[in-house]
Amino acid sequence: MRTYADKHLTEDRIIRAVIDEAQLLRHEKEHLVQCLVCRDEKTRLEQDLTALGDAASRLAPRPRRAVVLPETKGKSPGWLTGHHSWALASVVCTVLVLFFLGWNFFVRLPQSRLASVEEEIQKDGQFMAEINDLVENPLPQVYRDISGDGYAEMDEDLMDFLVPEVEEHAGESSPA
Amino acid sequence: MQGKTQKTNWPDEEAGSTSQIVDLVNRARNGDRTAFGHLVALFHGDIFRMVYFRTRSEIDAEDLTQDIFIQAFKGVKRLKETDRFRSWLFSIAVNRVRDFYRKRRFLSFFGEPGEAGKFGIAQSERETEAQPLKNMERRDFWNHVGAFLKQLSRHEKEVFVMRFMDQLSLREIAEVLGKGESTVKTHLYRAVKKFRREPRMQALIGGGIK
Repeated sequence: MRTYADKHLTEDRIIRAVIDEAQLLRHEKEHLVQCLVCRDEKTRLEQDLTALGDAASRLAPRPRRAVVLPETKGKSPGWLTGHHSWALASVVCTVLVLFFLGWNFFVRLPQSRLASVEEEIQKDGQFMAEINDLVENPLPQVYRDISGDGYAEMDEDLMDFLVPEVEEHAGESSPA
Repeated sequence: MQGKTQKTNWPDEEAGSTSQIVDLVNRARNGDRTAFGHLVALFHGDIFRMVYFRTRSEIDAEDLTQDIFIQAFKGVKRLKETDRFRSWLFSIAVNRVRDFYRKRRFLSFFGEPGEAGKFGIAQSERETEAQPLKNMERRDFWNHVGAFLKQLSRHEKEVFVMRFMDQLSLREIAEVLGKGESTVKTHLYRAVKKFRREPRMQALIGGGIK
């Protein structure tokens, strides 16, 4: 009875062995070691491919011109090129943004906040003065003018003149 | 193009070990021009051939190789995984070749001959200079390879050329293309199957290119 190891490798397996022998199964590798026919076939294909590569190299011309490298630039003009310029630009942008944010937060905002507090205090003062006025004279000025609280003293004299005291009139009339 | 330029005078070097390459890449990242010069010497041939395999034009390959190394020189400071320099360099090359073809398509859309048109004359002029037999063999080989690669899908072609002509590992191909290794293996499997069944390629290999 023929086992796996007795069977010759197919064309497909020979090609795979040439490309990378690790692709073969264990029994195929064992067969390849033992079988002269399969090993010859593999070697022949490898030799054909090697011959092709060798011929290609042999029949290719040789380079005649030497490679010329560009002159390296000095450090001073070259340091601000490529990545460096981008890095510098981003650092400048970051600094500007941080400065703007810092200026707003630490300098501009406290000043405006102080001004608004002062304004608030002033408004509170005015408001309290109005309240005190209202406590003393609940009526508005117009009504106060009409109600006559202002001419109370004059009214006293007028009233005395117009309507004399009862006791005085009584004294004067009794002898009569 | 790049203002003042300076030629590299490093001799051709054999491919360095991974630790040597990592060391050179680290030095190049710190601005060591000489270290980058050594890297150029190590990979110049590979990158030139890689571009040539895709453009089949010596002049275009030279121009593109120059551009690729300039791009790598400028970008090496941004390379984080220094042990992946080779695949990083190849991914630059792959993108540059794609840009080249996009530009060529764009120019041909407006009826301009573009870089490809100029190439024809210059290339033939170069070829007649010496070794006519080798030039004929070269043309014949690339015609066959070109015909075979036309049968492959874009992904199959990419992974096949990278694996067997650029000699990249599966891991490197996956890194260059930004795909999983299993995807790379699947495309490679299909491409190799077509290669095996292509009689002209078999004839080319059987006809003595070995």
